[in-house]
Amino acid sequence: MFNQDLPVDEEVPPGLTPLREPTLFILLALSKGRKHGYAILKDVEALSEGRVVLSTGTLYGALARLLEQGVVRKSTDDSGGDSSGSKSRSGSGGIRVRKYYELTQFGHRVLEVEINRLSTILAMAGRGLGEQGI
Amino acid sequence: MLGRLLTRLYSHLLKLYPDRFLDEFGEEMGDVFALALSGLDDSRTPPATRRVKMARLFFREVCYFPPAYLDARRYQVSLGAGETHAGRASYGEGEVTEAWVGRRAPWGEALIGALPFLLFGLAYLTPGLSKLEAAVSDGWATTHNLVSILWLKWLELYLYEPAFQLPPRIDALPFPFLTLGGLGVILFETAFILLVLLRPARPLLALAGVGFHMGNQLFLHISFTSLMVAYVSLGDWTAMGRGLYRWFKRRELVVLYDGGCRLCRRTVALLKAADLFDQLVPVAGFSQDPGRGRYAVVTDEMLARDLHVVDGERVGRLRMDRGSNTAAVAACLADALTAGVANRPHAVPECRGFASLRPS
Repeated sequence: MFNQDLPVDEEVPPGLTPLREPTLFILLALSKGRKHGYAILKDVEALSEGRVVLSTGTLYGALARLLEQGVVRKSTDDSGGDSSGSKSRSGSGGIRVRKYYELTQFGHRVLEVEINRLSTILAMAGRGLGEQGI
Repeated sequence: MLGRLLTRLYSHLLKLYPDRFLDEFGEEMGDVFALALSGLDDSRTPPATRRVKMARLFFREVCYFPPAYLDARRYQVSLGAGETHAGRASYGEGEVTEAWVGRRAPWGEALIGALPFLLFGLAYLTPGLSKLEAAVSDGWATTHNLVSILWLKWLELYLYEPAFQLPPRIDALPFPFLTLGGLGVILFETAFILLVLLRPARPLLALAGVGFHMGNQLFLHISFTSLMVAYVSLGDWTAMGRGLYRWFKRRELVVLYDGGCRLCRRTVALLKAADLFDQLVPVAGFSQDPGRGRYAVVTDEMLARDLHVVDGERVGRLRMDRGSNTAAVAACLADALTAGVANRPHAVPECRGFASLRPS
């Protein structure tokens, strides 16, 4: 577990954004609260209206990178709200503690920066199209 | 039935990911895949549709495996030797801050590393695609066509070299044999470029490739001697070196370093890359590295200043600060490594400053 988050006013370093589409949807899914892997998978599919369907490899490859960058953190305790419970049944039938992922403060900041970036582009595109009368 | 088969296949696919990534995420990935499969188990869906959806789920895992593998590999490399994510994270804020500063291995570096293998793969891809196109358009892989090719080649060889003796009569084998062989050749040649990027697959590819060329030599008298030499590059020589080291039981050299220091981690990673005989045992300070407790005499505060080397009963310091003599450090480590392999005393003066290790 990371002990502390980066301060929210910390600049997002160059190279972290723009985010890839699956990464953006993962962060959007986590912005609603901490989630385990399968819940992230389903949320991403729902948020993107079925356009982005992640494989487990893509999901955990992205989570590994985000953990490294300090954008998300992992927890195994069962405190916090998740109606699906905190234990999962493993493939072999044993019960194991489910691991959760959540955005750090720095992660929230990264998501905010990315959304602002996309909004700016959208506004510019809107203005450009408006000028052309489209 | 299909669910069990796919779960089993998925567990085999998982094994292809790098070890440390698997330690960290393997169980979770298996659980998520099983949950995704059971999520399709809806009694309202017709069985045929359900089976298609399950197969599609697995197919997606296979299709996205190469980029996911590269992500996993980058994660493993950036962790450095002897560390786990939980271990590093205990270092706290410093680690988080460091985590995002230019941490990702650039794609360019990964591509340069893969370039020789991609070139090797291209040597197969072109004829593979050509055969695939011929198989689709002209039935290249049909038994009839392959028998014609064999006969034509044998006739040429016979006219060219009167003393030539016919190889085993594979043209007389039952119907599906040659077709399967032809399809196998297409699959091997087209998939080679992808499989060769996976380190565990390389020795198997080398064996398959040598077998393929020996078959060509035997049945068609086409030798690919120059290409066969290239298969040396597919051997895992590091693993063989490490196996040899274990066989000879040479002494190990423990390198204690500051797990929260990027320069130290990269230095140790570089040393490990050059450590053909697997003699270096990196132990990270400021971490929950299980091996750390054995060297409590070297405190984290000491590691924050210097990188330490433990050679048997002795411990030595290697300065890694701005004023350090990099050449001396490198010479000392090289000397320690070779001394360990040759079981000889240290020769480089900088390495004689080892003090006795007296565990408290």
